[in-house]
Amino acid sequence: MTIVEPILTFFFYAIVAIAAQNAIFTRALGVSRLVKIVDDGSVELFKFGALLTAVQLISSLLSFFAGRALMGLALPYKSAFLPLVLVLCSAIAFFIVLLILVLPKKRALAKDYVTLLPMATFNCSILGTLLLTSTGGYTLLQSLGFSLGSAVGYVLAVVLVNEGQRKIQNRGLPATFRGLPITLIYIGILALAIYGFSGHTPAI
Amino acid sequence: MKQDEKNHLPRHADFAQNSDMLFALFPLAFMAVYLYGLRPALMLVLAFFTASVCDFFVAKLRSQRYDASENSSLVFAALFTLMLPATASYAIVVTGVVVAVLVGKHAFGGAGNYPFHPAALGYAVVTVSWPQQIFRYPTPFTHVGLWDTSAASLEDASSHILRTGGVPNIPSLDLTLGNYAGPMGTTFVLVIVAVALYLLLRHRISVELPLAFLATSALISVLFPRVATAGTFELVKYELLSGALLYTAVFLLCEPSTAPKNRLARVVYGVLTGFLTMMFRYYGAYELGVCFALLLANAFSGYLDRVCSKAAFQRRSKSL
Amino acid sequence: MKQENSNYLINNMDRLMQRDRIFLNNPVFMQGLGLAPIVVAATTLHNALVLGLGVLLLLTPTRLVAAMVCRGRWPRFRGVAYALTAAVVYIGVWFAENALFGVGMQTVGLYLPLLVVEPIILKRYERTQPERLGTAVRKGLVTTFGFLLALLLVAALRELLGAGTLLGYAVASRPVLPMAQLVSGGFILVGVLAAAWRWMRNLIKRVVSMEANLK
Repeated sequence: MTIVEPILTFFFYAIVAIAAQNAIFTRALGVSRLVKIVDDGSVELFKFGALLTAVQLISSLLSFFAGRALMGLALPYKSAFLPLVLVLCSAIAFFIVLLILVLPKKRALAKDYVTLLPMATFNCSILGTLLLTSTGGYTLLQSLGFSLGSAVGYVLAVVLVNEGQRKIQNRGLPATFRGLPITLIYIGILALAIYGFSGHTPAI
Repeated sequence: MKQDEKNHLPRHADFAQNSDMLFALFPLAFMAVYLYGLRPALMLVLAFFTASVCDFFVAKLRSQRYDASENSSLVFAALFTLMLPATASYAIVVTGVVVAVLVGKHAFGGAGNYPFHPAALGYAVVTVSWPQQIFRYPTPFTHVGLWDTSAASLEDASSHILRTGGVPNIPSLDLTLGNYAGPMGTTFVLVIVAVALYLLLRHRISVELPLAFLATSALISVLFPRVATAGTFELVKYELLSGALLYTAVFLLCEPSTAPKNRLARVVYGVLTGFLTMMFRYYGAYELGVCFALLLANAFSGYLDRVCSKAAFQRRSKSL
Repeated sequence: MKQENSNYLINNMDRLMQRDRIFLNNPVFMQGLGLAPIVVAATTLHNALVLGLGVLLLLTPTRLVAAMVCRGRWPRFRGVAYALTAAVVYIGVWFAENALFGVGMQTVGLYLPLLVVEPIILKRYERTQPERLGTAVRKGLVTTFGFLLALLLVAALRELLGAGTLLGYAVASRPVLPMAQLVSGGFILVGVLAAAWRWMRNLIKRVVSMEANLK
């Protein structure tokens, strides 16, 4: 019994982060990056997704302890230093993942991943999720679950929008709507559908 | 002769399909007028007018000829308006139609190019913007008022009662004839079934898609009933006949531009939409969640088509 | 328009359009940067002022300091350098915002600290060429003003359409479209504005080329 409940909590927060509080559709975290990826078409989604998830989980773990440490300090204006602490956490996660990629000697395989790594790290969805879990007072398990869900939700959103673009671009789109405008409208309509489920905007 | 050719555009390819849809919606509009007075007729006229103005405006903007035989906007206007309560303000009608036609249809490239159903989009936008107005329906055969509807007697629809854990109590005769509070054009079960048969015969809608959708919804409401105290048959009856479910199955689901083309894909799409609709009904924020569920399912229809066509192709090439 | 002016414009049209970061190549409507705060948080003019001040104080100093720090030695770590620089500059920005707005900062929630990794601030790290300091300042200021223009426009429209007010003062009797203040409304509105921007850009291109060809 004692092991089932933490697992359920973990997955519950993960599912919430994927569906009802999707990083893109409810909070637009990382939308600029998504639009560029969808427009570009050359970014490999699985590699990007794997990197994003790895960085998110590692930085979430680090930020849980770092955030707790920051809140424990007697400084008066902590909010000003929170982004710095969190960016440091994601930078450390960046280096950890870089080391993991570079240490085994398969240079050719790692090259793609290494090029994608900065894009997967300095991303609004990473910092946004870290901010949410640290200011929201989540426990370690909740943070990790939410972070996993957030990364997976982001990748799902990219896949969904990419799929939609495939359908749209084959048809007679007006020239002024090509690219950014129609992608945003597409995301907006999906965001509307998800809003119909939750019925309220989650706290920002 | 040449002048004549220049002035006459050939009829748009979808003209027959859309005209059939409008023809099928006419009995519903007629029943709405019978139940609620002249106001539904006025709302429909306003909706048609707004849709035509939007079409004309876009044609001018894109420096194209305004093709009056391209009447899909009229279909969307009618579909959207018939989902509103008869007391919805004219501003709501206009806003919904404008969003449906301009954003839902023309932004994506016009007739046949849109991935989301414009009428569902219009309804979703209007629900999210004015939820208090959308879910209060006038009692049939009471005075609704043409311009000022503040004196109308409003009540909650059966979808609301199901949401709050109760079972609606509507006599069977009223249920089939549509004599109960609900969205303007969606309560007339008998009429909807009749026009569905008409559309089926004319090959305007497919058979597998609505069936898969309704079967999934019924199955979910049987296996996981919302209201524990009701009998199964009662509950399924009310679930299927509330919240514009049947109306959506017949009119909104099979829109050729948004639904998959492959047969297997259609069945999967129907099951998916049914599942999503019940999820939105059970756990969602609005009692009429089928339009939101439809928008979400529309995003998957292209993917389903691709996957199922590939599967069918592989099966066929294996058997060769 | 004089002959040589229009000829010059035609010949360098694309390059000029690329460089104009305020109107013709607006960072938000044309390049798609800075969308997260605009779509979610820019629902009222007050929020726009909070975010605008943040970007104003964050973008140019970050770009300048990062250009000084990244002199081309380890191109792979430019992202880290830019992000850390932004986070450090943010400390100053936070104090400025707190002094000016106080508790009013809470209305934008996490979108103010989020600016630290927003592509509009950090974008330059993707190009490995080290940036000259003067260019950093110039481009930073120009991008800032392009962003501010888009931000204020969208926020004003959303507040007007969604609540019928401007900066809290009632302007319209009734909101035209309450959805404009939601995230989905924000996406759709920015998408439509981006399309309108492209349309105007094409119009200007056509007018200039007509002027050039007339003579």
